[in-house]
Amino acid sequence: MAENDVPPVAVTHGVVHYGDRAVLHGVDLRVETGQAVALLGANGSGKSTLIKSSLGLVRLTGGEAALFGTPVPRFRAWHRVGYVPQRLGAGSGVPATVREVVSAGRLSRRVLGLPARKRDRLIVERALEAVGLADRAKDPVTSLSGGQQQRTLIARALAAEPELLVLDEPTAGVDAASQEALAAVLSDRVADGATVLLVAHELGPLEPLIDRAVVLSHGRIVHDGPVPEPAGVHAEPGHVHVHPHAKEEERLWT
Amino acid sequence: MDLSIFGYDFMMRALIGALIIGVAAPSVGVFLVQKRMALIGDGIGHVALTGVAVGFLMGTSPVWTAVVVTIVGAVAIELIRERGKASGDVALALLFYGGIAGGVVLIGMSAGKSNATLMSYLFGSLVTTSAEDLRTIAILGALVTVLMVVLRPWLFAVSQDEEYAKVSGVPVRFLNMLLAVTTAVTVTVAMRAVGLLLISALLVVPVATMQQFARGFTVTMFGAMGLGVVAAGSGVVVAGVGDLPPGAMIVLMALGLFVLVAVVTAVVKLARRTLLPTRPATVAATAPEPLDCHLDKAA
Ligand SMILES: Nc1ncnc2c1ncn2[C@@H]1O[C@H](COP(=O)(O)OP(=O)(O)OP(=O)(O)O)[C@@H](O)[C@H]1O
Ligand SMILES: [Mg+2]
Repeated sequence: MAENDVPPVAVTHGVVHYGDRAVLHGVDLRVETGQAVALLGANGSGKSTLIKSSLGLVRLTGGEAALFGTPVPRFRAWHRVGYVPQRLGAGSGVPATVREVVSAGRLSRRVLGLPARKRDRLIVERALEAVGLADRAKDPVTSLSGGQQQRTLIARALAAEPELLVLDEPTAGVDAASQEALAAVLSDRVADGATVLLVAHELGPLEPLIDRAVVLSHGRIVHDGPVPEPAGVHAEPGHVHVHPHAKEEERLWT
Repeated sequence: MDLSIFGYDFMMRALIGALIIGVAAPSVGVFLVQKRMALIGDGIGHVALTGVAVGFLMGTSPVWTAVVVTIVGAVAIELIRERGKASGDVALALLFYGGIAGGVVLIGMSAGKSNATLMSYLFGSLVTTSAEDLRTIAILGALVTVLMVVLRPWLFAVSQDEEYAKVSGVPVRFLNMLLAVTTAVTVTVAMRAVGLLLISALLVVPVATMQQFARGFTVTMFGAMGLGVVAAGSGVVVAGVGDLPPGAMIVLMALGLFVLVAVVTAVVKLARRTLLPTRPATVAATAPEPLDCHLDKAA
Protein backbone atom coordinates (compact mmCIF):
# COMPACT_ATOMS: atom_id res chain seq x y z
CA MET A 1 0.00 0.00 0.00
CA ALA A 2 2.93 2.30 -0.61
CA GLU A 3 1.21 4.68 -3.01
CA ASN A 4 3.10 7.83 -3.79
CA ASP A 5 0.07 10.08 -3.87
CA VAL A 6 -2.03 11.24 -0.98
CA PRO A 7 -4.89 9.05 0.27
CA PRO A 8 -8.37 10.19 -0.84
CA VAL A 9 -9.74 9.44 2.63
CA ALA A 10 -7.77 9.72 5.84
CA VAL A 11 -9.22 9.83 9.32
CA THR A 12 -6.64 9.82 12.09
CA HIS A 13 -7.56 9.09 15.71
CA GLY A 14 -11.13 10.13 14.91
CA VAL A 15 -13.29 10.69 17.98
CA VAL A 16 -16.96 11.66 17.74
CA HIS A 17 -19.36 12.46 20.56
CA TYR A 18 -23.10 12.90 20.28
CA GLY A 19 -23.77 14.94 23.37
CA ASP A 20 -21.73 13.30 26.11
CA ARG A 21 -21.69 9.86 24.53
CA ALA A 22 -18.64 8.85 22.54
CA VAL A 23 -19.63 7.03 19.36
CA LEU A 24 -16.19 6.75 17.74
CA HIS A 25 -13.22 6.11 19.98
CA GLY A 26 -10.08 7.09 18.07
CA VAL A 27 -10.60 5.47 14.69
CA ASP A 28 -7.90 5.37 12.01
CA LEU A 29 -9.09 4.88 8.45
CA ARG A 30 -6.95 5.40 5.39
CA VAL A 31 -8.22 4.60 1.91
CA GLU A 32 -5.62 4.61 -0.86
CA THR A 33 -6.22 5.76 -4.43
CA GLY A 34 -7.98 3.12 -6.51
CA GLN A 35 -8.93 0.97 -3.54
CA ALA A 36 -12.42 -0.33 -2.91
CA VAL A 37 -12.99 -0.59 0.80
CA ALA A 38 -16.04 -2.01 2.54
CA LEU A 39 -16.97 -0.76 5.98
CA LEU A 40 -18.81 -3.48 7.89
CA GLY A 41 -20.33 -3.69 11.34
CA ALA A 42 -23.54 -4.11 13.30
CA ASN A 43 -26.29 -1.48 13.49
CA GLY A 44 -25.15 1.43 15.58
CA SER A 45 -21.47 0.49 15.43
CA GLY A 46 -20.68 3.93 13.99
CA LYS A 47 -20.31 3.28 10.26
CA SER A 48 -22.41 6.23 9.12
CA THR A 49 -20.79 8.43 11.72
CA LEU A 50 -17.31 7.52 10.50
CA ILE A 51 -18.23 8.18 6.89
CA LYS A 52 -19.90 11.47 7.69
CA SER A 53 -17.00 12.67 9.79
CA SER A 54 -14.58 11.79 6.99
CA LEU A 55 -16.62 14.20 4.80
CA GLY A 56 -16.97 16.88 7.45
CA LEU A 57 -20.72 16.34 7.91
CA VAL A 58 -20.20 15.29 11.52
CA ARG A 59 -17.77 17.29 13.61
CA LEU A 60 -14.83 15.35 15.01
CA THR A 61 -14.34 15.98 18.71
CA GLY A 62 -10.86 14.54 18.47
CA GLY A 63 -8.38 13.63 15.75
CA GLU A 64 -8.63 14.87 12.21
CA ALA A 65 -9.98 14.06 8.79
CA ALA A 66 -8.48 14.87 5.42
CA LEU A 67 -9.70 14.42 1.85
CA PHE A 68 -7.05 14.08 -0.84
CA GLY A 69 -4.50 15.34 1.65
CA THR A 70 -6.39 18.52 2.55
CA PRO A 71 -7.89 18.85 6.04
CA VAL A 72 -11.67 18.67 5.57
CA PRO A 73 -12.45 22.17 6.93
CA ARG A 74 -10.24 23.62 4.20
CA PHE A 75 -11.22 21.15 1.47
CA ARG A 76 -12.85 22.82 -1.56
CA ALA A 77 -12.50 20.34 -4.45
CA TRP A 78 -15.90 18.76 -3.79
CA HIS A 79 -16.32 17.71 -7.43
CA ARG A 80 -13.80 14.95 -6.62
CA VAL A 81 -16.20 13.44 -4.10
CA GLY A 82 -19.51 11.65 -4.66
CA TYR A 83 -21.54 10.86 -1.55
CA VAL A 84 -24.54 8.54 -1.31
CA PRO A 85 -26.31 9.06 2.02
CA GLN A 86 -28.13 6.24 3.79
CA ARG A 87 -31.49 7.76 2.90
CA LEU A 88 -33.09 10.55 0.92
CA GLY A 89 -33.01 13.90 2.70
CA ALA A 90 -36.17 14.44 4.69
CA GLY A 91 -36.86 18.02 3.75
CA SER A 92 -39.12 18.34 0.78
CA GLY A 93 -42.60 19.70 0.92
CA VAL A 94 -42.39 20.49 -2.78
CA PRO A 95 -42.34 17.70 -5.36
CA ALA A 96 -39.06 17.16 -7.21
CA THR A 97 -38.45 14.96 -10.21
CA VAL A 98 -35.78 12.28 -10.33
CA ARG A 99 -33.86 14.35 -12.86
CA GLU A 100 -33.98 17.43 -10.64
CA VAL A 101 -32.55 15.49 -7.70
CA VAL A 102 -29.83 13.89 -9.84
CA SER A 103 -28.95 17.28 -11.38
CA ALA A 104 -28.16 18.57 -7.88
CA GLY A 105 -25.19 16.19 -7.95
CA ARG A 106 -23.74 18.18 -10.83
CA LEU A 107 -23.59 21.44 -8.89
CA SER A 108 -20.08 20.76 -7.61
CA ARG A 109 -18.93 21.17 -11.22
CA ARG A 110 -21.04 24.22 -11.99
CA VAL A 111 -20.32 27.89 -11.37
CA LEU A 112 -22.79 29.55 -9.00
CA GLY A 113 -25.41 31.45 -11.00
CA LEU A 114 -24.44 30.21 -14.46
CA PRO A 115 -26.77 27.98 -16.48
CA ALA A 116 -26.04 24.26 -16.99
CA ARG A 117 -23.90 23.47 -20.01
CA LYS A 118 -24.63 20.79 -22.57
CA ARG A 119 -22.07 18.53 -20.95
CA ASP A 120 -23.70 18.92 -17.53
CA ARG A 121 -27.01 17.73 -18.93
CA LEU A 122 -25.33 14.88 -20.80
CA ILE A 123 -23.61 13.57 -17.67
CA VAL A 124 -26.87 13.74 -15.74
CA GLU A 125 -28.60 11.65 -18.43
CA ARG A 126 -25.73 9.14 -18.35
CA ALA A 127 -25.97 8.86 -14.58
CA LEU A 128 -29.71 8.20 -14.88
CA GLU A 129 -29.06 5.52 -17.47
CA ALA A 130 -26.31 3.95 -15.36
CA VAL A 131 -28.77 3.24 -12.58
CA GLY A 132 -31.60 2.31 -14.94
CA LEU A 133 -33.86 5.24 -14.11
CA ALA A 134 -33.79 7.08 -17.44
CA ASP A 135 -37.45 6.26 -18.05
CA ARG A 136 -38.46 7.59 -14.62
CA ALA A 137 -36.57 10.88 -14.97
CA LYS A 138 -39.73 13.01 -15.02
CA ASP A 139 -41.46 11.26 -12.15
CA PRO A 140 -41.52 12.72 -8.64
CA VAL A 141 -38.91 10.98 -6.44
CA THR A 142 -41.50 10.38 -3.77
CA SER A 143 -43.40 8.15 -6.20
CA LEU A 144 -40.42 5.77 -6.42
CA SER A 145 -39.89 2.69 -4.29
CA GLY A 146 -37.22 2.69 -1.59
CA GLY A 147 -34.79 0.82 -3.83
CA GLN A 148 -35.40 3.19 -6.72
CA GLN A 149 -34.87 6.19 -4.46
CA GLN A 150 -31.57 4.63 -3.41
CA ARG A 151 -30.62 4.37 -7.08
CA THR A 152 -31.57 8.03 -7.55
CA LEU A 153 -29.08 8.96 -4.84
CA ILE A 154 -26.39 6.85 -6.51
CA ALA A 155 -27.05 8.60 -9.81
CA ARG A 156 -26.78 11.95 -8.05
CA ALA A 157 -23.33 11.02 -6.75
CA LEU A 158 -22.25 9.77 -10.18
CA ALA A 159 -23.32 13.06 -11.79
CA ALA A 160 -20.31 14.77 -10.23
CA GLU A 161 -17.97 12.35 -12.07
CA PRO A 162 -16.15 11.88 -8.78
CA GLU A 163 -12.76 10.29 -8.16
CA LEU A 164 -13.90 9.16 -4.73
CA LEU A 165 -17.27 7.52 -4.13
CA VAL A 166 -18.48 7.27 -0.56
CA LEU A 167 -21.62 5.18 -0.30
CA ASP A 168 -23.62 4.53 2.85
CA GLU A 169 -25.48 1.23 2.37
CA PRO A 170 -26.07 1.61 -1.36
CA THR A 171 -27.51 -1.91 -1.51
CA ALA A 172 -30.05 -1.61 1.31
CA GLY A 173 -33.49 -2.42 -0.05
CA VAL A 174 -32.15 -2.86 -3.58
CA ASP A 175 -33.12 -6.08 -5.39
CA ALA A 176 -30.58 -8.61 -6.67
CA ALA A 177 -30.69 -7.39 -10.27
CA SER A 178 -30.09 -3.79 -9.24
CA GLN A 179 -27.26 -4.86 -6.96
CA GLU A 180 -25.60 -6.53 -9.95
CA ALA A 181 -26.13 -3.32 -11.92
CA LEU A 182 -24.62 -1.26 -9.12
CA ALA A 183 -21.64 -3.62 -8.91
CA ALA A 184 -21.10 -3.14 -12.66
CA VAL A 185 -21.30 0.66 -12.34
CA LEU A 186 -18.85 0.68 -9.43
CA SER A 187 -16.35 -1.65 -11.06
CA ASP A 188 -16.44 0.63 -14.12
CA ARG A 189 -15.55 3.57 -11.89
CA VAL A 190 -12.82 1.56 -10.14
CA ALA A 191 -11.41 0.50 -13.53
CA ASP A 192 -11.24 4.22 -14.35
CA GLY A 193 -9.11 4.71 -11.26
CA ALA A 194 -11.81 5.82 -8.85
CA THR A 195 -11.66 5.08 -5.15
CA VAL A 196 -14.65 3.53 -3.37
CA LEU A 197 -15.57 3.50 0.29
CA LEU A 198 -18.87 1.82 1.00
CA VAL A 199 -20.89 0.67 3.97
CA ALA A 200 -22.75 -2.60 3.63
CA HIS A 201 -24.31 -5.28 5.74
CA GLU A 202 -23.92 -7.91 3.06
CA LEU A 203 -21.60 -7.44 0.14
CA GLY A 204 -23.44 -9.80 -2.22
CA PRO A 205 -22.55 -9.04 -5.85
CA LEU A 206 -20.19 -6.26 -4.68
CA GLU A 207 -17.85 -8.76 -3.07
CA PRO A 208 -15.49 -9.38 -6.03
CA LEU A 209 -14.97 -5.62 -6.26
CA ILE A 210 -13.84 -5.13 -2.67
CA ASP A 211 -10.07 -5.10 -1.98
CA ARG A 212 -10.28 -4.62 1.73
CA ALA A 213 -12.77 -4.73 4.56
CA VAL A 214 -12.81 -2.66 7.72
CA VAL A 215 -15.05 -3.91 10.52
CA LEU A 216 -16.31 -1.50 13.16
CA SER A 217 -17.66 -2.60 16.50
CA HIS A 218 -18.87 -0.17 19.16
CA GLY A 219 -16.96 2.69 17.57
CA ARG A 220 -13.64 0.81 17.27
CA ILE A 221 -12.01 -0.89 14.31
CA VAL A 222 -11.79 -4.59 15.08
CA HIS A 223 -10.67 -5.86 11.68
CA ASP A 224 -8.82 -4.31 8.76
CA GLY A 225 -7.79 -6.56 5.91
CA PRO A 226 -9.30 -9.10 3.56
CA VAL A 227 -13.06 -9.51 3.45
CA PRO A 228 -13.98 -11.76 6.37
CA GLU A 229 -15.25 -15.16 5.28
CA PRO A 230 -18.90 -15.81 6.11
CA ALA A 231 -17.88 -18.92 8.07
CA GLY A 232 -14.92 -17.24 9.77
CA VAL A 233 -14.57 -15.55 13.13
CA HIS A 234 -15.80 -12.22 11.82
CA ALA A 235 -18.85 -13.71 10.20
CA GLU A 236 -21.55 -11.13 9.64
CA PRO A 237 -24.73 -12.36 11.27
CA GLY A 238 -26.86 -11.23 8.34
CA HIS A 239 -24.55 -12.55 5.64
CA VAL A 240 -26.85 -15.23 4.35
CA HIS A 241 -29.97 -13.30 4.03
CA VAL A 242 -32.94 -13.28 1.73
CA HIS A 243 -33.75 -9.94 0.17
CA PRO A 244 -37.22 -9.15 1.37
CA HIS A 245 -37.70 -6.32 -1.08
CA ALA A 246 -36.45 -8.22 -4.09
CA LYS A 247 -38.66 -7.91 -7.16
CA GLU A 248 -41.47 -6.51 -5.12
CA GLU A 249 -40.86 -2.88 -5.93
CA GLU A 250 -41.60 -2.96 -9.64
CA ARG A 251 -45.14 -4.10 -9.04
CA LEU A 252 -46.08 -1.10 -6.96
CA TRP A 253 -45.38 1.69 -9.44
CA THR A 254 -46.28 1.33 -13.05
CA MET B 1 -68.00 45.49 -15.69
CA ASP B 2 -66.96 49.11 -15.21
CA LEU B 3 -63.18 49.32 -15.57
CA SER B 4 -63.09 53.11 -15.90
CA ILE B 5 -61.51 53.37 -12.44
CA PHE B 6 -58.30 52.02 -13.99
CA GLY B 7 -58.09 55.27 -15.92
CA TYR B 8 -56.78 56.78 -12.69
CA ASP B 9 -53.04 56.69 -12.10
CA PHE B 10 -53.36 55.48 -8.53
CA MET B 11 -55.31 52.43 -9.68
CA MET B 12 -52.74 51.60 -12.35
CA ARG B 13 -49.96 51.92 -9.79
CA ALA B 14 -51.87 49.60 -7.49
CA LEU B 15 -52.29 47.07 -10.27
CA ILE B 16 -48.65 47.15 -11.39
CA GLY B 17 -47.41 46.95 -7.78
CA ALA B 18 -49.65 43.98 -7.09
CA LEU B 19 -48.51 42.15 -10.22
CA ILE B 20 -44.83 42.56 -9.29
CA ILE B 21 -45.47 41.30 -5.78
CA GLY B 22 -47.60 38.50 -7.19
CA VAL B 23 -44.67 37.13 -9.19
CA ALA B 24 -41.95 37.77 -6.58
CA ALA B 25 -43.60 36.36 -3.45
CA PRO B 26 -44.12 32.76 -4.65
CA SER B 27 -40.60 32.64 -6.13
CA VAL B 28 -39.30 32.93 -2.56
CA GLY B 29 -42.17 31.01 -1.02
CA VAL B 30 -41.43 27.84 -2.97
CA PHE B 31 -38.08 27.44 -1.17
CA LEU B 32 -39.64 28.20 2.20
CA VAL B 33 -42.27 25.52 1.62
CA GLN B 34 -39.57 23.10 0.50
CA LYS B 35 -37.68 23.72 3.74
CA ARG B 36 -40.92 23.19 5.64
CA MET B 37 -40.71 26.74 6.91
CA ALA B 38 -43.93 27.90 5.28
CA LEU B 39 -44.97 30.03 8.22
CA ILE B 40 -41.70 31.96 8.42
CA GLY B 41 -43.26 34.69 6.28
CA ASP B 42 -45.89 35.20 8.97
CA GLY B 43 -43.23 35.43 11.64
CA ILE B 44 -41.21 37.95 9.70
CA GLY B 45 -44.42 39.89 9.10
CA HIS B 46 -44.81 40.16 12.87
CA VAL B 47 -41.25 41.40 13.17
CA ALA B 48 -41.89 43.92 10.39
CA LEU B 49 -44.47 45.57 12.63
CA THR B 50 -41.67 46.58 15.00
CA GLY B 51 -39.79 47.91 11.98
CA VAL B 52 -42.77 50.00 10.90
CA ALA B 53 -43.11 51.35 14.43
CA VAL B 54 -39.43 52.29 14.51
CA GLY B 55 -40.04 54.25 11.32
CA PHE B 56 -43.00 56.10 12.89
CA LEU B 57 -40.94 56.88 15.95
CA MET B 58 -37.98 58.22 14.01
CA GLY B 59 -40.14 60.01 11.49
CA THR B 60 -38.54 58.20 8.56
CA SER B 61 -40.06 55.98 5.90
CA PRO B 62 -41.48 52.91 7.70
CA VAL B 63 -40.70 50.71 4.69
CA TRP B 64 -36.96 51.16 5.01
CA THR B 65 -36.84 50.70 8.78
CA ALA B 66 -39.03 47.63 8.31
CA VAL B 67 -36.56 46.25 5.73
CA VAL B 68 -33.69 46.68 8.18
CA VAL B 69 -35.51 45.24 11.20
CA THR B 70 -36.90 42.23 9.29
CA ILE B 71 -33.49 41.44 7.83
CA VAL B 72 -32.05 41.42 11.35
CA GLY B 73 -34.95 39.22 12.49
CA ALA B 74 -34.66 36.82 9.54
CA VAL B 75 -30.91 36.41 10.02
CA ALA B 76 -31.47 35.77 13.73
CA ILE B 77 -34.03 33.07 12.93
CA GLU B 78 -31.63 31.48 10.44
CA LEU B 79 -28.79 31.47 12.98
CA ILE B 80 -31.07 29.86 15.57
CA ARG B 81 -32.21 27.25 13.03
CA GLU B 82 -28.61 26.50 12.09
CA ARG B 83 -27.49 26.00 15.72
CA GLY B 84 -29.97 24.37 18.05
CA LYS B 85 -32.43 22.39 15.99
CA ALA B 86 -34.92 21.50 18.71
CA SER B 87 -35.16 24.96 20.26
CA GLY B 88 -35.74 26.64 16.88
CA ASP B 89 -39.52 26.41 17.20
CA VAL B 90 -39.65 28.11 20.55
CA ALA B 91 -37.12 30.77 19.58
CA LEU B 92 -39.22 31.51 16.53
CA ALA B 93 -42.35 31.92 18.63
CA LEU B 94 -40.54 34.27 21.01
CA LEU B 95 -39.42 36.39 18.10
CA PHE B 96 -42.96 36.64 16.74
CA TYR B 97 -44.48 37.75 20.02
CA GLY B 98 -41.60 40.14 20.56
CA GLY B 99 -42.21 41.60 17.11
CA ILE B 100 -45.93 42.26 17.68
CA ALA B 101 -45.61 43.47 21.25
CA GLY B 102 -42.60 45.65 20.42
CA GLY B 103 -44.44 47.12 17.47
CA VAL B 104 -47.58 47.94 19.43
CA VAL B 105 -45.63 49.56 22.28
CA LEU B 106 -43.43 51.60 19.94
CA ILE B 107 -46.44 52.81 17.98
CA GLY B 108 -48.08 53.85 21.25
CA MET B 109 -44.95 55.88 22.00
CA SER B 110 -44.97 57.69 18.68
CA ALA B 111 -47.53 60.43 19.15
CA GLY B 112 -49.73 61.72 16.38
CA LYS B 113 -49.94 58.55 14.33
CA SER B 114 -53.52 57.54 13.84
CA ASN B 115 -54.73 53.98 13.93
CA ALA B 116 -55.55 54.35 10.26
CA THR B 117 -51.84 54.39 9.38
CA LEU B 118 -51.23 51.29 11.45
CA MET B 119 -54.17 49.60 9.76
CA SER B 120 -52.69 50.34 6.35
CA TYR B 121 -49.62 48.29 7.30
CA LEU B 122 -51.59 45.52 8.92
CA PHE B 123 -53.99 45.07 6.03
CA GLY B 124 -52.26 46.81 3.12
CA SER B 125 -53.11 49.96 1.24
CA LEU B 126 -52.40 49.43 -2.41
CA VAL B 127 -54.34 52.45 -3.61
CA THR B 128 -52.08 54.82 -1.70
CA THR B 129 -49.01 53.52 -3.57
CA SER B 130 -47.06 56.57 -4.73
CA ALA B 131 -44.88 56.69 -7.81
CA GLU B 132 -41.87 56.45 -5.51
CA ASP B 133 -43.36 53.45 -3.69
CA LEU B 134 -43.91 51.78 -7.01
CA ARG B 135 -40.29 52.31 -7.98
CA THR B 136 -39.17 50.69 -4.71
CA ILE B 137 -41.53 47.76 -5.25
CA ALA B 138 -40.33 47.33 -8.84
CA ILE B 139 -36.62 47.39 -8.00
CA LEU B 140 -36.81 45.09 -4.99
CA GLY B 141 -39.37 42.78 -6.60
CA ALA B 142 -37.26 42.37 -9.72
CA LEU B 143 -34.12 41.79 -7.65
CA VAL B 144 -35.80 39.09 -5.57
CA THR B 145 -37.32 37.33 -8.58
CA VAL B 146 -34.12 37.36 -10.63
CA LEU B 147 -32.06 36.04 -7.70
CA MET B 148 -34.49 33.22 -7.01
CA VAL B 149 -34.74 32.19 -10.66
CA VAL B 150 -31.01 32.38 -11.39
CA LEU B 151 -29.99 30.58 -8.20
CA ARG B 152 -32.81 28.04 -8.40
CA PRO B 153 -30.65 24.88 -8.77
CA TRP B 154 -28.46 25.86 -5.81
CA LEU B 155 -31.30 27.00 -3.56
CA PHE B 156 -33.14 23.81 -4.52
CA ALA B 157 -30.16 21.70 -3.46
CA VAL B 158 -29.82 23.51 -0.14
CA SER B 159 -33.53 23.33 0.64
CA GLN B 160 -33.89 19.72 -0.47
CA ASP B 161 -30.87 18.10 1.18
CA GLU B 162 -28.60 20.42 3.11
CA GLU B 163 -26.00 17.75 3.94
CA TYR B 164 -25.63 16.75 0.35
CA ALA B 165 -25.40 20.39 -0.70
CA LYS B 166 -22.46 20.75 1.71
CA VAL B 167 -20.51 17.91 0.12
CA SER B 168 -21.28 19.36 -3.31
CA GLY B 169 -19.39 22.49 -2.36
CA VAL B 170 -22.59 24.57 -2.51
CA PRO B 171 -22.20 27.63 -0.24
CA VAL B 172 -24.96 26.44 2.09
CA ARG B 173 -24.57 29.11 4.73
CA PHE B 174 -24.48 31.97 2.25
CA LEU B 175 -27.56 30.70 0.42
CA ASN B 176 -29.53 30.19 3.64
CA MET B 177 -28.71 33.74 4.66
CA LEU B 178 -29.59 35.01 1.21
CA LEU B 179 -32.95 33.28 1.40
CA ALA B 180 -33.57 34.75 4.86
CA VAL B 181 -32.74 38.27 3.67
CA THR B 182 -34.81 37.84 0.50
CA THR B 183 -37.76 36.67 2.56
CA ALA B 184 -37.47 39.75 4.75
CA VAL B 185 -37.32 42.06 1.74
CA THR B 186 -40.28 40.35 0.09
CA VAL B 187 -42.35 40.60 3.24
CA THR B 188 -41.71 44.30 3.64
CA VAL B 189 -42.37 45.04 -0.01
CA ALA B 190 -45.55 42.99 -0.03
CA MET B 191 -46.74 44.59 3.19
CA ARG B 192 -47.81 47.56 1.06
CA ALA B 193 -50.05 45.35 -1.00
CA VAL B 194 -51.68 42.75 1.20
CA GLY B 195 -50.62 43.86 4.67
CA LEU B 196 -48.48 42.17 7.28
CA LEU B 197 -51.24 39.87 8.44
CA LEU B 198 -51.82 38.35 5.01
CA ILE B 199 -48.34 38.35 3.51
CA SER B 200 -47.69 34.68 4.18
CA ALA B 201 -50.70 33.83 2.02
CA LEU B 202 -49.01 35.25 -1.08
CA LEU B 203 -45.77 33.43 -0.30
CA VAL B 204 -47.36 30.07 0.33
CA VAL B 205 -50.83 29.66 -1.21
CA PRO B 206 -49.78 29.68 -4.90
CA VAL B 207 -47.09 27.10 -4.08
CA ALA B 208 -49.58 24.93 -2.24
CA THR B 209 -51.89 25.21 -5.24
CA MET B 210 -49.21 23.93 -7.62
CA GLN B 211 -48.17 21.17 -5.21
CA GLN B 212 -51.55 19.53 -5.65
CA PHE B 213 -50.77 18.36 -9.14
CA ALA B 214 -47.21 19.34 -10.17
CA ARG B 215 -44.63 16.57 -10.48
CA GLY B 216 -41.46 18.61 -10.35
CA PHE B 217 -39.85 21.54 -8.60
CA THR B 218 -39.29 23.82 -11.60
CA VAL B 219 -42.90 23.43 -12.70
CA THR B 220 -44.10 24.18 -9.18
CA MET B 221 -41.96 27.29 -8.94
CA PHE B 222 -42.87 28.88 -12.26
CA GLY B 223 -46.48 27.76 -12.00
CA ALA B 224 -46.77 29.35 -8.56
CA MET B 225 -45.30 32.60 -9.91
CA GLY B 226 -47.93 32.54 -12.67
CA LEU B 227 -50.72 31.87 -10.18
CA GLY B 228 -49.41 34.72 -8.00
CA VAL B 229 -49.73 37.11 -10.94
CA VAL B 230 -53.23 35.87 -11.74
CA ALA B 231 -54.37 36.21 -8.11
CA ALA B 232 -52.83 39.68 -7.73
CA GLY B 233 -54.17 40.98 -11.05
CA SER B 234 -57.68 39.62 -10.65
CA GLY B 235 -57.77 40.65 -6.99
CA VAL B 236 -56.98 44.28 -7.77
CA VAL B 237 -59.43 44.41 -10.67
CA VAL B 238 -62.29 42.91 -8.66
CA ALA B 239 -61.48 45.16 -5.72
CA GLY B 240 -61.32 48.22 -7.99
CA VAL B 241 -64.62 47.48 -9.67
CA GLY B 242 -66.45 46.47 -6.51
CA ASP B 243 -64.78 49.06 -4.23
CA LEU B 244 -63.41 46.35 -1.94
CA PRO B 245 -60.10 46.14 -0.03
CA PRO B 246 -57.55 44.96 -2.67
CA GLY B 247 -55.14 43.20 -0.27
CA ALA B 248 -57.74 40.85 1.12
CA MET B 249 -59.23 40.39 -2.34
CA ILE B 250 -55.85 39.23 -3.70
CA VAL B 251 -55.60 36.65 -0.94
CA LEU B 252 -59.17 35.49 -1.54
CA MET B 253 -58.36 35.07 -5.23
CA ALA B 254 -55.28 32.99 -4.37
CA LEU B 255 -57.37 30.82 -2.07
CA GLY B 256 -60.07 30.59 -4.74
CA LEU B 257 -57.47 29.26 -7.20
CA PHE B 258 -56.37 26.73 -4.59
CA VAL B 259 -59.91 25.43 -4.16
CA LEU B 260 -60.52 25.42 -7.91
CA VAL B 261 -57.37 23.36 -8.52
CA ALA B 262 -58.28 21.02 -5.66
CA VAL B 263 -61.66 20.35 -7.20
CA VAL B 264 -60.28 19.96 -10.73
CA THR B 265 -57.52 17.55 -9.65
CA ALA B 266 -60.01 15.50 -7.65
CA VAL B 267 -62.34 15.29 -10.64
CA VAL B 268 -59.47 14.43 -13.00
CA LYS B 269 -58.23 11.72 -10.65
CA LEU B 270 -61.71 10.26 -10.33
CA ALA B 271 -62.17 10.35 -14.09
CA ARG B 272 -58.81 8.64 -14.61
CA ARG B 273 -59.65 5.93 -12.17
CA THR B 274 -63.00 5.17 -13.73
CA LEU B 275 -62.25 5.81 -17.40
CA LEU B 276 -58.65 4.66 -17.92
CA PRO B 277 -57.71 1.91 -15.49
CA THR B 278 -54.03 2.18 -14.53
CA ARG B 279 -53.69 -1.53 -13.92
CA PRO B 280 -55.49 -3.04 -16.89
CA ALA B 281 -54.65 -6.61 -15.96
CA THR B 282 -56.10 -6.55 -12.46
CA VAL B 283 -59.07 -4.42 -13.42
CA ALA B 284 -59.95 -6.74 -16.27
CA ALA B 285 -59.74 -9.70 -13.94
CA THR B 286 -61.82 -8.18 -11.19
CA ALA B 287 -64.23 -6.04 -13.17
CA PRO B 288 -67.08 -8.55 -13.41
CA GLU B 289 -66.90 -9.30 -9.72
CA PRO B 290 -68.86 -6.39 -8.23
CA LEU B 291 -71.67 -7.23 -10.60
CA ASP B 292 -71.68 -10.82 -9.41
CA CYS B 293 -71.67 -9.67 -5.80
CA HIS B 294 -74.70 -7.52 -6.38
CA LEU B 295 -76.45 -10.37 -8.08
CA ASP B 296 -75.57 -12.66 -5.20
CA LYS B 297 -76.93 -10.21 -2.69
CA ALA B 298 -80.03 -9.66 -4.71
CA ALA B 299 -80.65 -13.37 -4.98
N1 LIG C 1 -27.60 12.57 15.33
C1 LIG C 1 -27.35 11.71 16.33
N2 LIG C 1 -27.55 12.08 17.61
C2 LIG C 1 -27.30 11.25 18.62
N3 LIG C 1 -26.82 10.00 18.48
C3 LIG C 1 -26.60 9.56 17.23
C4 LIG C 1 -26.86 10.38 16.08
N4 LIG C 1 -26.55 9.67 14.97
C5 LIG C 1 -26.14 8.48 15.40
N5 LIG C 1 -26.16 8.40 16.76
C6 LIG C 1 -25.73 7.25 17.56
O1 LIG C 1 -24.42 6.92 17.19
C7 LIG C 1 -24.25 5.52 17.11
C8 LIG C 1 -23.68 5.16 15.76
O2 LIG C 1 -24.61 5.51 14.77
P1 LIG C 1 -24.34 5.28 13.23
O3 LIG C 1 -25.49 5.85 12.50
O4 LIG C 1 -22.99 5.76 12.90
O5 LIG C 1 -24.39 3.69 13.13
P2 LIG C 1 -24.31 2.77 11.85
O6 LIG C 1 -23.17 1.84 12.07
O7 LIG C 1 -24.30 3.57 10.62
O8 LIG C 1 -25.67 1.95 11.99
P3 LIG C 1 -26.67 1.41 10.85
O9 LIG C 1 -26.14 0.10 10.42
O10 LIG C 1 -27.96 1.25 11.57
O11 LIG C 1 -26.75 2.43 9.79
C9 LIG C 1 -25.60 4.90 17.39
O12 LIG C 1 -25.58 4.41 18.69
C10 LIG C 1 -26.57 6.03 17.28
O13 LIG C 1 -27.58 5.91 18.24
MG1 LIG D 1 -25.66 3.88 9.10
